[in-house]
Amino acid sequence: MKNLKEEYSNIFQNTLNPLSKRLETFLCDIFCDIPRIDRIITRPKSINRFLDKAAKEENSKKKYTDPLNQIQDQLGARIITFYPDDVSTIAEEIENYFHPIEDQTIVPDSDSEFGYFGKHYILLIPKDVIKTSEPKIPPFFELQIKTLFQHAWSEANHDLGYKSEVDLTSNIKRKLAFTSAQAWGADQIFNDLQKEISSLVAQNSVEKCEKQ
Amino acid sequence: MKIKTIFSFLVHPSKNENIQPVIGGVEIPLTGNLFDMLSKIFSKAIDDCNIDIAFLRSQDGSQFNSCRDQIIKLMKSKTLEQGRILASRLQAVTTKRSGLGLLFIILGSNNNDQRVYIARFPADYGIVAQENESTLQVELLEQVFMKNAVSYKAVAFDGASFDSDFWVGKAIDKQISNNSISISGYWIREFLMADFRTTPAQGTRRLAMAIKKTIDQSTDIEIKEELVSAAKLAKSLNGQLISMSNFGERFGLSEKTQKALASTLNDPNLRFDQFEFTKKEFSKHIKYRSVEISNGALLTALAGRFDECFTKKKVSETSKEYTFTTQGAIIDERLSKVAK
Repeated sequence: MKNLKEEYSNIFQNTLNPLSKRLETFLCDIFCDIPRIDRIITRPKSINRFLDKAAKEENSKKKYTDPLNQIQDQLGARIITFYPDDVSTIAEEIENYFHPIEDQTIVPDSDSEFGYFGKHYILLIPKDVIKTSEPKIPPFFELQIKTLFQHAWSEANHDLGYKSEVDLTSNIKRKLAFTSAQAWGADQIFNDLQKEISSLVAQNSVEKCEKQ
Repeated sequence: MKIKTIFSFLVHPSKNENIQPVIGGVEIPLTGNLFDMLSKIFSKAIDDCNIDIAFLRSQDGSQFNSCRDQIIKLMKSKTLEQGRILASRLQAVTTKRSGLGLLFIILGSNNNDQRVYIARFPADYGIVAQENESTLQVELLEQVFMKNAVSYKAVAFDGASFDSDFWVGKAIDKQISNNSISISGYWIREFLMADFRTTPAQGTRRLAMAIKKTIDQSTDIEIKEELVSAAKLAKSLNGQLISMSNFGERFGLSEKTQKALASTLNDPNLRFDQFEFTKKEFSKHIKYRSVEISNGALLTALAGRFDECFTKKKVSETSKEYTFTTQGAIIDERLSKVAK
């Protein structure tokens, strides 16, 4: 594991860090005219998180036999938007400007469950941000598109639920699901409100024009 | 990179055929004239193939591409049977227009690095002339396969990891070199289930931003003028495969203008990156706003800078007329002609 730590630390410092900054600027330039984007964040996966993930097991066997080539979110980006309908607008732009090798709309397993929601992509790193002089440039990065409420819930859930060192009780799991349901509900209402208000604004401007 | 295995298959045009013809295949010995010729092609593969391509994801969004999967299986097994699966895949998308072809699959490696090179030589007619002491014997040959034929196609993938590599490769399709992207559908989109690595919007945006940045930053009038003229003609490129470098050649940009354009790029090699030009994307970044006024004047400026260039003031409260003012040094009087 020591070698992997050294190797990833080197990539983290010399490649992922500067690449992450260039990618953020590139994304911000592309999305600067799209309304209701709260923020765009990029980050290299921290050394500890990478090593934790690399050590993960599945069926009593190491999940990653070649972590440096198999872990695809060494570089991550997130676009946070206001309302659920904005997610598809941003996704369309992503498909225009990037080459995806995977996309997933992540929702809980059943319609009566609440938990993590988000749109995830694995994208080829655009040539515009690559400096060939940098060592071991990963071919991909992960991009997540989330609403403000999805983002807030997933951050808190990551802190309290995902990282927890103890087994969560049934009541705690239910509370986490409840907060996800509330976040989902808020998203639905804000989405409806946005549509209703936009339609009122449009109607109002038509009436104004007719009066003139 | 040392060649380990070469397979060859005769691929018939059988798109939409219910019964696919049996594909004859053979492993080529790693000695002799044919091997020597293929070795040369293989060693120059990455330089010859000048279009960067990338495999497409599966339709359900998952990280899977059946062609990539078949190529990886072939690289792992190195069997004629696995090669035949790839040949069958090509046969099933080959139309009569593309015709009979001879497929070569060359596998090579160097320590951990591996390369697969897949090339389709189209069938053609050839004439053999044999000169004896006083006679000349001329004969027509059918089913001659030539690399320099206009529809020669190839693709090369290099990598060390089957997990992270072999998603992007380099292709050549002599038919697209003639700017007809639609024909490439057969080799790149249908057979490989891939697309250009640089999307039309991504490449066009890069070009437009470079033009805009160079016009804004350059103090050289000729550079600005050349780029303004080229930008106005650029919409004629819609749907064509171009690179920043051949954009410059097509519109006769001087060497200094091409250099200035390339200097805006993160990596100067990006000027050779090929992509499909889109008029819609170009116009999003480079737009000219023109206002014609009743006295015959036509005011033109880059859309984003029009209000900076011209100030507009109503002549009086009741008048429909405006006074436009602008200030600056005259850099070239011909610019006004270009604007019209």
